Amino acid sequence: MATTRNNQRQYQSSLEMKAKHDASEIRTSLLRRISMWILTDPSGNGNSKSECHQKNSGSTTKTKNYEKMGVYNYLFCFGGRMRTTKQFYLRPYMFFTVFCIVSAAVIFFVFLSSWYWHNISPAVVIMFSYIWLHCFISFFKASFTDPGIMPRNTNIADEPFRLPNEYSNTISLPIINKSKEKLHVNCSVTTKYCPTCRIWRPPRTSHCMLCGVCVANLDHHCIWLNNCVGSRNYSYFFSFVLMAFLSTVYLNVCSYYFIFHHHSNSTPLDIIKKYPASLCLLIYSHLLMLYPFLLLLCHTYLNCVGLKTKEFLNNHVKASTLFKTGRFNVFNTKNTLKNFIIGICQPRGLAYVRARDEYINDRTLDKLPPLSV
Amino acid sequence: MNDLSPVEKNQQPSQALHEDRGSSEFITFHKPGQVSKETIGYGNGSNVTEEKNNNTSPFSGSTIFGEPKNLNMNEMGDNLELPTGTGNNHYDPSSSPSSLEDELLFFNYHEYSVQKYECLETGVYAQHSHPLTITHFPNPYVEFQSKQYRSTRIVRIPRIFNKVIANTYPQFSTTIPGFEPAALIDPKHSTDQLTNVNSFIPKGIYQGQLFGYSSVSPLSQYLTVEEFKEIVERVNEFMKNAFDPLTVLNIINNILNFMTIWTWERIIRSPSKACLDRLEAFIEDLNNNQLKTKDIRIISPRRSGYICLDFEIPKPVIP
Repeated sequence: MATTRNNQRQYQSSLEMKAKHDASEIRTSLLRRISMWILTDPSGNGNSKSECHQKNSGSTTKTKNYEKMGVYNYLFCFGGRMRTTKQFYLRPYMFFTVFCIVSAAVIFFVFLSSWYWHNISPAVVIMFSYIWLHCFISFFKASFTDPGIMPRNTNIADEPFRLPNEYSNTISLPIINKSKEKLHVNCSVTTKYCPTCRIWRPPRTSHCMLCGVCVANLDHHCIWLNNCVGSRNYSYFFSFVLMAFLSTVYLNVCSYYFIFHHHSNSTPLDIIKKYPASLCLLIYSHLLMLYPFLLLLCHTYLNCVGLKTKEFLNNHVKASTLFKTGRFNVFNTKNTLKNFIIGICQPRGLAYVRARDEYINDRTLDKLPPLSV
Repeated sequence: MNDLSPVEKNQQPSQALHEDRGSSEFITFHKPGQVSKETIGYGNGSNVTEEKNNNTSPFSGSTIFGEPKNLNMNEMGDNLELPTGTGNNHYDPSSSPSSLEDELLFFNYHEYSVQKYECLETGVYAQHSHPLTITHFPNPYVEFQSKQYRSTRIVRIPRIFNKVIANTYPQFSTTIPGFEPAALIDPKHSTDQLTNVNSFIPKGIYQGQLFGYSSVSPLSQYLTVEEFKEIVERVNEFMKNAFDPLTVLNIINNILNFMTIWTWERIIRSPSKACLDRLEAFIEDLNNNQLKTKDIRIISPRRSGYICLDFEIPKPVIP
């Protein structure tokens, strides 16, 4: 008797607890949903497969893909519209980039814009605004959009814990042969199986350790953007570098002009004494110019010879006659303009994994058990 | 070698190839008679070690690469029939000029072979001498362990790279699995029953699924070589229009996009995206009409990231 009463009491208390929990859930759900919409860490919610199965079958609310993308190291903002690599507090370089871009604008608009607007022409200010805005938006797009991530597990084998022996090979496949050169192993494309993403990576697709994804045409993982630079955001990245360089050059020219042509009857030294900020501005804009300039040179060169940063740095592929080591670059069309267009004008197409699409309960976003060797 | 029957002759190199595909680090497929193994080190290109094995018999060509036209006829003898004569009229010699000696051949890199399986004839689960070729795979596009997952399989059509300069846009193989230049061919059936070369013949059970000895997949039961080629060529056309960067339309679109600080792509659907939308519509139309009667469907290549074209087929059963 005592035990049954005890059981009953326990059951009642558990019911009460559940009712309380439900009420609190309703109260917090709106707040929680808004906060979830603003910032989502997909690995935190719905990590276990059974839970997500229940959710999908029971509730009527639609789940979006980004809420289930826990296999990737991504944080999503504003309902999956923006993404950034997790643990950016370990590599907080992105904030430095934002600071540099914003500081350049602040300097111009505080110190120079009014003088240029009234004394020279409003066009000078408008032009700077255009270039700077271009730079900022390109940075924003390159940093927060999809670099071309590959869906996972599309090429799985039957055995979940063991990879077939053939899948650990690097496979050479024939390429188009227009140049009448003798084909050999170096003149072929290689594909490799990615044991993490469980896909046969096409050539130039690489796995990014920091993001935990395979990215199509991966150029490099940019710590300044805190994102990979791949096929779908390379044009944004390149225009960011280009516009960062142009805006700093613009700032340079403007500050030089300000010092040397401020007034026809006063020397530059007088102006520096009168406006000490102008000298600081000059030095600062020179410093700002340095890195975008080098990066622009590097990427222009790489595009002209049909290379990716990763290939160039790994020395896998011979860049040109300048660098003797490395393999023959099969992606070089021997036409600089063509190479350049292929490099920067890649059509974006549709995203392979759309963060904001409705979640279909398939295996392309699943985390599979690790392989045993 | 000379006193072996043609069948035995054909079997030996085939097995050797199965081992080769499994064991070596770096595999390349060349013209008949040349199977080279290489181990390419990472880092710089200096530590490349090569061990070439050019001494395999001329019959390796007939079984491994399925290309009897290029065999040395003197060594084969006049009384020997070409083992895979009917199965290889698919092979297009123009795609790989035969003037080059050291030539790579294409094969479906998705398939692999297993030797431990349950033989269909004897019913014995053991390590067998002749490996099974795995040509169809589990379906990752449906819910795991659902009814559809259990009743369907996927045949993957790989991407090819010998049609595009600098690999600028994806193209899929237009040869139905089992008919690629370096596909594995079942040696017994290639000589005994010439008519059966084209079809999928289950030989063993691995992980509860039926597989055959050759690279021919169960997709051949549903689509003919011509039908398959027609479908894939249409898809390839869409791929070219969508992803080719060297078109005037794409360059103009990019310039406009750049000048308007990326607002142009917000206003107007880019030609690339519009083309991919048409591809989705085309595949949906195909699935609802032509392929519905055959009980198969194409998975949109977008879902695999355009790395392979997937055909969903019913799970093969013993006829």
